[in-house]
Amino acid sequence: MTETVFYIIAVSLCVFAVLSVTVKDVFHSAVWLALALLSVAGIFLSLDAAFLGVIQVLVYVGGIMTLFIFAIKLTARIGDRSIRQVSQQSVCGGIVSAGIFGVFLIIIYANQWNDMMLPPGQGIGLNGLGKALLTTYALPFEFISVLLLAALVGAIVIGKVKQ
Amino acid sequence: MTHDILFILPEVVLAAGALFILVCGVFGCRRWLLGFLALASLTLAFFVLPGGSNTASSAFSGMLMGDAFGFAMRIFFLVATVLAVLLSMGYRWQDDDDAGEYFFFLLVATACMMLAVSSGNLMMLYLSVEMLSIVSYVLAGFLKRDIYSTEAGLKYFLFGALSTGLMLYGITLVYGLFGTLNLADINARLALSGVYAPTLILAAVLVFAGLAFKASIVPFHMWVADVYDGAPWPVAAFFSVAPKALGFALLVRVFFGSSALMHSGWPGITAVLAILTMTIGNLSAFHQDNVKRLLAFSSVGQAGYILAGLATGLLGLQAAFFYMIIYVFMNMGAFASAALLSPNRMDLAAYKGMGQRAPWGAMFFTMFLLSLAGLPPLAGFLAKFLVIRAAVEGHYFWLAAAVVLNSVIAFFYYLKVIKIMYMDKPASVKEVAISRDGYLLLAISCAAVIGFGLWPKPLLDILAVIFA
Amino acid sequence: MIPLGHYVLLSAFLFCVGLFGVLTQRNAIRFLISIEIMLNGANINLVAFNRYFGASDATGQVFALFVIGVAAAASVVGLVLVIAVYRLRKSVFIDDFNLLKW
Repeated sequence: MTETVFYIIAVSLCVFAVLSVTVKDVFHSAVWLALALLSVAGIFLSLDAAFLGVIQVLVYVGGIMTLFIFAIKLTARIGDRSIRQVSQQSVCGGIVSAGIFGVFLIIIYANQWNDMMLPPGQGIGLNGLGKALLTTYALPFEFISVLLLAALVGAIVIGKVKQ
Repeated sequence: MTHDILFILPEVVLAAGALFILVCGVFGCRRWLLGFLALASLTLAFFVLPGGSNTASSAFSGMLMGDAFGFAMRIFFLVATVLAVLLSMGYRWQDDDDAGEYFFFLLVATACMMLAVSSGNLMMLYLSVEMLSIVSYVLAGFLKRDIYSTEAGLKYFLFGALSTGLMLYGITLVYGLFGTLNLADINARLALSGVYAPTLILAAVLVFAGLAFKASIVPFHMWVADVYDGAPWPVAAFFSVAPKALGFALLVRVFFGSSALMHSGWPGITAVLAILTMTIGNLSAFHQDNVKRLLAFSSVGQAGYILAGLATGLLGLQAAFFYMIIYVFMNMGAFASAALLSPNRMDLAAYKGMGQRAPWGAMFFTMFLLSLAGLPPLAGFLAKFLVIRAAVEGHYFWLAAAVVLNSVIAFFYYLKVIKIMYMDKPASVKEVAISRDGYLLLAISCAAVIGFGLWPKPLLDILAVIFA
Repeated sequence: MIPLGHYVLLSAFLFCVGLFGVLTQRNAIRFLISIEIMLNGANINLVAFNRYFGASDATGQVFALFVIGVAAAASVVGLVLVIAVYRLRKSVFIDDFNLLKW
């Protein structure tokens, strides 16, 4: 049962992602991206990474997508829909991407990844994740807080309007 | 535990200093005071660098590694940022806004670079590079009311986000292959099993792409001209030395750790990329009317010479890093001279007759341009000579020939600027004033360029110890 | 049972879709959307590798968590830059940003 669910989520994720980069209206593109991000959270759940799935929904869908919608609405122009959203080189870009995907196909089937099956158990779980964050990975964990501060200050510096 | 904290004490000092400057800026401190505080933080960070880190050690459960190379590069970044802060203090900005935030970003960027170069784990490496990038995007677009600056910031962001995305995907593939992100473990496993898995090659290409972007290696150099052109002068000067050096240092950290990778075609590919980089950089600089773009393409060409050093083995490694140290002083000096002589106009015509209008400034600028061109007895000549010698000793004759040919070509556009300064009639006879901090920076850089040119031995000895 | 290869295939597909978007989009915000798709592909890779390689350490999940944080920070700065450019140029199309051309 879980396998069918995974394949349904995976296929819909692919569909949402493709729709996101191909539709004409940028707002629709953002909506498809939000659905794709929700599907990714579903994938995380299927990999027994429940905490990560919840964080994905909260931060990505809840935070980043809100940011995107704000930015889209703040930079909208009348008559946007008539402007070409995709450049003339879309055929060339499509060939490049398809080529790289072909490379990936070769690599995946040449590797031992295709035969690996799920080991028994529940994965590392929330306990193990928390312990790792505060012991082995304590330095990057603290470092990220400086990163967030820097991004915040940067956004304010560039975004604020002089009174 | 204390060992860990002592290890990152310099970065902690920088971060604390950055926060303090941010707060002082909010309370209305002037730019020169904030800059002085930044210099104080950098000096304090230098003095708390862990003294015993010349032996191989690791900190924070393998997130960081302490070896001579990391230690030397941390000093390198501190020095480079000191020069950048001096330029930011001496440069005539349009207004005094946001000076606190500016120095905050500079110090945070330095801390990121120092952490990145001591990384022992690909996760730490990615996080520090990404954080440096984010801070750089803000610095490039810092003058938010200036069309050119915001456009430069956006362009840098677009290119940079793509390149770090590629690098991240490469790192995930490495994780998939080895099950660990620890560089020492990965190199140990590579030594056992060899290199020819296609997945590993794809992963290596992706990671190389991300790092080559920072080091402005062809074909990832497209952003340099636009970003250096639009960004404020001190920011462009900082970009041309510090993140670029980080790119090269990380290339060494990631790719030189395993001898298996070194023997499998790395030298050939790197040599080709080096020739492309120096040629494209120098040729593009030729027909530039804009002095910022000219210096930007010139720095791409210089990156090519440094890469040529990395291609030729151990001797070349020493040559490349000698070149990089000299490059910091001469490129910073060149950018600083150009910025201080003409802060607002960027076309070459603005420099007409600078020989009369600002004799000292023009003299400094000439020194730096001649060193970049490789004229003896300045340090730039010695740096190029070492790279050529390393190439010849490794039997890369065509690489050595390319370096020589490129130096000859580049000489002509450096000479063009000097000619404009001394031979053309100035547009106005108003004297150009350069601030005291500006003169201090120019004097320090010039002393380094001349000093290392005449007495390189101490530096060369240190490099020989590091790369033994 | 789902082999690991299928997860990697999914991740590779997302990476290529994102790459296609990056190479072809004229709108800066859609460029960013494509980058987010690429980053999510990388995250799926990380979590899948972590799960399939044995349950002793949490490296992949921790890294994926950090990538989400970094992506958030980068999006904030990127979108603020887009808005800053828009204020001055009234356009978000990359082709229009030609002030810094040859």
